[in-house]
Amino acid sequence: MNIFQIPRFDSFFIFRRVINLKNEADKIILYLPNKIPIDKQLLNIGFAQATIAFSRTFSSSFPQASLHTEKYRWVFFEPEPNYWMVFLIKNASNTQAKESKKNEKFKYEFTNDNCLFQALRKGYYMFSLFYHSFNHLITNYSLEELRNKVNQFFSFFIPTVDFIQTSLKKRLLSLFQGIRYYPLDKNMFLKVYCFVNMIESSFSKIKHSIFLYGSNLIWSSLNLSDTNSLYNFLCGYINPKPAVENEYLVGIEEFFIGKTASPQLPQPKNYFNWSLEDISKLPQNPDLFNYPELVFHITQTIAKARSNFSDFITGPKLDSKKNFFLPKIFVGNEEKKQHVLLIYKANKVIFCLLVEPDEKLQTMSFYNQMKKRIETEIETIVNNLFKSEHILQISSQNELLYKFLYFNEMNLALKETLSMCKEFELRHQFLMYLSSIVDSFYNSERLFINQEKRYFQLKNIEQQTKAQNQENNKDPIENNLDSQKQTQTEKYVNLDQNLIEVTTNINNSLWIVMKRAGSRLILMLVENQNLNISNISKEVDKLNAEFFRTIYLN
Amino acid sequence: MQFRYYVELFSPLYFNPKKYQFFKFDNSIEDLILFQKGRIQGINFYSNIHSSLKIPDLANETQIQELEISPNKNYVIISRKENSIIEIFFRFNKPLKYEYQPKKMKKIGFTLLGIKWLDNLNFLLISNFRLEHMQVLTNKNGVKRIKSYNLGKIHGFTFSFENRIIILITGKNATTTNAFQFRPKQTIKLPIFELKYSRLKEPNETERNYCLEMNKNLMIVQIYRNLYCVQLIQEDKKVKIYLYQLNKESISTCSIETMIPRNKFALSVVDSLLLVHDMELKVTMIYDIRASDDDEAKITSPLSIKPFSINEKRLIDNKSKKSLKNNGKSEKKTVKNENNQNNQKIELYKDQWVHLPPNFVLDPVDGFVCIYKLDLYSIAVSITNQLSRVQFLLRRSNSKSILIKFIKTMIIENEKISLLSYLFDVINNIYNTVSYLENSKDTQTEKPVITIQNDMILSPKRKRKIKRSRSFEKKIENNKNQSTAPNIKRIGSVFVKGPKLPLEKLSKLKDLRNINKEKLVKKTKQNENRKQNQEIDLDINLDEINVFDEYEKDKNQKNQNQKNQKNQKKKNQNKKKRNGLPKTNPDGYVVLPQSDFYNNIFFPLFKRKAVEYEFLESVLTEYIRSLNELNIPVQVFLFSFLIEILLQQKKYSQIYHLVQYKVIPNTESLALQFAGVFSSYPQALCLALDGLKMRKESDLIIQILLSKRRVMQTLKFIHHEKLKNKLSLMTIQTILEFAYFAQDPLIFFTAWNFFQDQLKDNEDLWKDYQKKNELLIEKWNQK
Repeated sequence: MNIFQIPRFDSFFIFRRVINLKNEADKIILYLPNKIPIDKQLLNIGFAQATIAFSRTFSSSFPQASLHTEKYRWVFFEPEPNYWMVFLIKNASNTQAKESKKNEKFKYEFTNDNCLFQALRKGYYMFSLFYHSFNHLITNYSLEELRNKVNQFFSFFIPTVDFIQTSLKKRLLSLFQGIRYYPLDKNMFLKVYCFVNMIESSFSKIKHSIFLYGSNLIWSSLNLSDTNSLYNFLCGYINPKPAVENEYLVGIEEFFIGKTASPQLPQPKNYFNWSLEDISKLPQNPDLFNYPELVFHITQTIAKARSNFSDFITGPKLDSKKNFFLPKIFVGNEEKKQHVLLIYKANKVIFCLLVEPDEKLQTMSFYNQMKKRIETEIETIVNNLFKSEHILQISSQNELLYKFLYFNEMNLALKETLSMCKEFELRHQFLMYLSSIVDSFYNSERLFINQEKRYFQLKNIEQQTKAQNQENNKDPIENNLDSQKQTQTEKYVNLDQNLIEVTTNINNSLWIVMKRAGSRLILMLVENQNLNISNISKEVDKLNAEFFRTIYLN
Repeated sequence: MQFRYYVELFSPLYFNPKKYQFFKFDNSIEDLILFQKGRIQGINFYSNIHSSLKIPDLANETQIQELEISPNKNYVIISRKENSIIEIFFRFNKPLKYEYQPKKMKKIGFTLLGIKWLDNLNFLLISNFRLEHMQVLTNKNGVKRIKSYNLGKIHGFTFSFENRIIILITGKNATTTNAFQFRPKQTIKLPIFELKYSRLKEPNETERNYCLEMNKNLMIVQIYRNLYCVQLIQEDKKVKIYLYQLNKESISTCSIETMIPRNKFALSVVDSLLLVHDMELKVTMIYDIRASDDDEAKITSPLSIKPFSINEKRLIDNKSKKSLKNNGKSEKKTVKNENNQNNQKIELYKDQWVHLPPNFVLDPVDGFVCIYKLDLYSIAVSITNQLSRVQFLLRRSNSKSILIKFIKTMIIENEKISLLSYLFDVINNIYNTVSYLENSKDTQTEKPVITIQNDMILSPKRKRKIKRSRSFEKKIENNKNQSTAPNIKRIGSVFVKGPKLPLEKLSKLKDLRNINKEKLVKKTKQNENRKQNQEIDLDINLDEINVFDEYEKDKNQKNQNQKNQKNQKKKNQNKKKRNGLPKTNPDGYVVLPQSDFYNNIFFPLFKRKAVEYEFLESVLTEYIRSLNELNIPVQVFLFSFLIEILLQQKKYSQIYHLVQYKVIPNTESLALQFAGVFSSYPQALCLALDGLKMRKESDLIIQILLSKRRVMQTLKFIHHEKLKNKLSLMTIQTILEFAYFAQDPLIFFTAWNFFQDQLKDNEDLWKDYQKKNELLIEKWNQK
């Protein structure tokens, strides 16, 4: 009997490198799950530290890296000097139980380093948005405070990380941590821009603002990285997508059809249970708010909100008029300054105001004044946006004909129609292969003008594997593995760092075209059996002409 | 700050009343007419051109009742107090006299009410029995009656020379009006309308006085491009102004209640504002008929005219000037001395003052003619509501500089953005309308619009002025646009109305008041020629100018025909809802084009750092939004300025944002600006190259890449775009020079190799670069 287990979260830890420590445990900042005995924790941390120290001898600056072992995948990230964040993921395994013997084989290819690394980065930048930095907390408060805050934040953040990207879509989206911009015509955009400017200029205490429609950004006066972090936070909690509990199951089943696989689903939400009682027991610090409190406050307010809700989410508490909930975040170009985050929600519009900390914020009149001002103007904007959304829906029907992903590094703009199409039934090895190409695309050194195009084609691999299956009657997973090795070697032979276009055919039916121009990247999927490579390039040209005409490509 | 005076007497023309047997101011030809011992002297108020006519027959005349000079000053009509014979004197040919006695002249009760010249040959005779249209026969030295109009008893009349309109008061109660417009080849009878109330003749009153009194209360004036007959009457112990708008088809009436309690008043019109003078309380109130009732600008508080004084020296000077005129003494010296002299204050609001439309005042006691001038700044300051103030100024003709000043202070004082936004909408609405008209004019010159109403609105002179000023502005704007957007026609212009010459020019003209006689004669001749031309042009001009008034109707008709404009209508409706603004703003005279905003408001504020950049950014974006919403193409310099402000604030990602949403257009100059800020904002280079690439400006891309010393990228670009064979030898040489400059043998060798084919044709160059290559390699090896 075969039992397949998907990659599992083993642990996540943050430690610091300090010399002359009295107690070894002092270097641990966070270890999740925290029920693990301290010895085991120290063992893992020691191992990580040793790996880092060892690899330093080969590279003066330790690069973003991962360590592959038979059972585990280690991903390291050094966000601040001497602070390390490490993910430890247990590889997928296939257990063949023959009588009393258990033969467990681990499949390391189910996890992607790049995706995990992106998740770590995303987590850190979101943390630093709320608490500045690890070092800031230690120097200004205490190690204990840092541990508290890190624990509070990451116990909410880790469950949102997708450790197994079973589908191409998921993998791509977790790789490109972009911002979705709301497509608007010039005049409508100017209206929003002028509205934001008007509010900012009417209240001198407002320093920055962000304007979102649904989970799409329209305007932000913050710098790009702050915008991205705040955008990620807002999209995560204010406009959460409906959680699909069965998603894992569906994905896995599709891969192992015909097998007696009983995948054990991870239940990330059960790892760290926060209840309202726990939150009320949290220590209160006037300068540093508690992250769980913010999350609960927002989710509860939104749950209570009616459809015609138009009010502050943070700021004055809705039920009790005297209390104020004022979360503070750190933003700024060179020096990060603390601002109070006020979130205003009207219909689908989320309007965030970053206000300089001030005594006025503790008075209700300030909010009333601001609310009055916003309310008078925002109504027309909401209506206009609602109309534009309708127009957009009609026009986006064209987009559905193409499945593509567009990403621009310069403004982190992400646009994709992958979520609108059904999941591709991809063999796992192709998924791996594709993501490795994307990796090389995404990580390769960016040159402004690249070398000539190189067409790269993969054909008949699927047929080969099928033939092999019939011959050897082997386990398909293992079989896939072999072909994976093949394709990987091919990758290193054929792809160099200055890729600008890759065209791939899979299964003789799915074409994947990846194209890069400067900082922009387009990935396109075409499902048609009767196309050859020249037809595909025409298809790509068509897509370009339709959607990216005004964006310089090549 | 309190400003005590809104109105002042301006540009006085002095004369000594005691010296002349008869004097008057003729507001139709704008001449002060002085008569003394058979010599008639005319001094033009604006140009100060002197003209004189000697009539020996009148040497001992003292009984003159009416004296009317034809516009070309060739004929003089005189009527005397006692007899009713009209004598006409001819200037040229032989100085001849012709006596004309109207038929039935001997009928009892005949009174001559007036004589009015229509042009150089035609004149109107108005008596209490009829209106007669007469013509002077030059060859026969006689007079011919062209037509006479019997309208029953005529009590009074009012005449407008500019529009050749006469309104006669007829009927039993003196309330019915008959109006005629005399055009060169036809006479148009305007609709009859009833005056609200006219007083009846008092038993003791003479017919003549009664008629004079009737005349006094009526006036034909132009207000906001419309022609009105204004009537001032006492109603319920208060004076009420009635405005009858004269149209070809119908007459519309409106009224304003004044605060003047007594029946002693006078009326003037300056710059489309009604000035009502209370001659007893000695105050003047200014009414703006376009302001809504609750608008603060509707009426100003009653204030006196600014004290006016005559320089005694000046009076003497005036005399001496006249005597010394032939010697050609300059006026400058007297002007210098002016300040040192004791000024004689003049009593204001004298009973004897004669107010002549539109804004002339004749003081027969102290001997001067003046016009009323408004102190727009003081009036504007008195209006506390910012919006009313700006709207008031927008309706004025010479308020541009004041308007700019106020907008500037509003920005400096960080006025609410919403208010500024509304103001920009108002200002740009006018700007848009005017430019639309300019464009439509260009297309419609071949097919003049059929006139339906108001075809007598502007005098030919003014029309020409407007035309000229527009064409001038057009040239300027076009020149400005040539470098950036040659296809866009945006015209800003000032509609000159009100005084015939802008007041600023008037003061300059004062200096010209003593010019040699020879020059004068020349000028008068030129003027004559001009006037003749004008008359020929009259019809065409009338039609052209009507484009303005027909704009609305015309547009509506078009809308019905064109499908595309349905959307526009919807947009306009939205605008109305949002701003409560009308689609077009016919009130507007002052047009503030984008260049004015930039040169006089935004840029000076930016340069002086008078406002925080953040606020200026908000204001500028509001302005751009307003232009965009009205579909006015925004000039590139505004975007360039916006980018500059954002760069100063280091809002780099916001610039990208604006480019992404296509707020900032893709133009060559902006692309070059982006390339220039590469050092502070590296991604700007990418933006610049993107823009240029889309515009297919490969030469510029090569230049920019080379300027950043990116030789390899340049080569890659040339290779990718297959430009290798299209490049000139000069460009190849510069690329190689840059490659050599890099002092890296690898780069140089690559470049050299790349252009091998092109270079081999030229042996000298080939060898030269070969040497350089060797040199580089040597240097490299030495290191």
